[in-house]
Amino acid sequence: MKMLKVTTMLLVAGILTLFSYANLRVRSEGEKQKSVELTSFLLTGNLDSVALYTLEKKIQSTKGVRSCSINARGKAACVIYYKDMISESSVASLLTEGSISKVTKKDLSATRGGCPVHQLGASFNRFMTLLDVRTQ
Amino acid sequence: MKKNVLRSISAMLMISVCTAMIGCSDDDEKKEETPTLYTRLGGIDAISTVVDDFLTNVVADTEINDKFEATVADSYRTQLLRANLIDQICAGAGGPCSYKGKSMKEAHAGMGISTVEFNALVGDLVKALDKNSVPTAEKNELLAVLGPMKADIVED
Ligand code: HEM
Repeated sequence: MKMLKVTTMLLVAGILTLFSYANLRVRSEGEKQKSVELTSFLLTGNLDSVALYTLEKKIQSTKGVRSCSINARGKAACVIYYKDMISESSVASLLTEGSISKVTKKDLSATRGGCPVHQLGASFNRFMTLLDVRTQ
Repeated sequence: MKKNVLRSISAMLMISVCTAMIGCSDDDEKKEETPTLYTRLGGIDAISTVVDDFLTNVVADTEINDKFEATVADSYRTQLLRANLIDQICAGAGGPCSYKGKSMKEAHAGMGISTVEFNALVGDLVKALDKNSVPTAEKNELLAVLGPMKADIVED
């Protein structure tokens, strides 16, 4: 019984410490920025680089979009946007225009973690972000 | 005699106070004359816009984007890279930021990054700076801050 009490107290203390750390740590300027979503797309079609430059500018000026880059030669595109302002499917439909006949989200599901050190850092960051009420 | 000594001491004190004041105001003027690269780039908002354009260029760049697949696959990882890049550029430009990420050697160890890939990434950064109409002087100054990192990143 005493053992259970001590374990519970230790657990509570641990959680409280982590919660306090997550919420009291000094966040860097980069961490204070509103979080964004980045999606990578593959493009199909007879891509005309001049038309794509115009399309890139048009997408870039869409509300909620932070940045758009279209690579005509590589048939790839990447868009950074605010998830609460524009959805991934809306971004994809913005890309489906003119010479682009098909837009597919790049399938990265088979990508396994890459460098474990970076993965570990990202997991810690994810945990702290979840506990940090300032980022909610 | 005593009066004379006192007089010369107070005269010397006055001169040193004046010299110090002139020295200080001179410093302030110099500071005003040359704002930091951070200020000239437009502060944190402009830097984060450049970083976002840089990231989309890199991820759409088929010459190097395979190296970033694991990063793009995990949105927290992307978020962390973005925050680190913003802080690194901000701090390197003399802004009020501290870079909390890994050293460049540690961050890129074992990735097998070649000079060609490094140049492609720098090209993507230049494209982002041009997109945001960053003047040539500021662009070169920023590239001069990042350029020396090549030795710690490239492995060929
Ligand atoms: C001047 C050039 C470069 C700078 C300033 C730079 C900066 C950075 C920074 C700040 C990080 C984050 C470190 C951390 O997680 O603590 C990083 C990670 C990384 N860099 Fe670079 N880098 C450069 C060149 C390159 C090149 C040429 C490539 C590959 C072609 C590359 C690929 C990566 C990858 C894959 C990561 C890991 C991202 C992750 O956490 O998933 N970098 N870099």
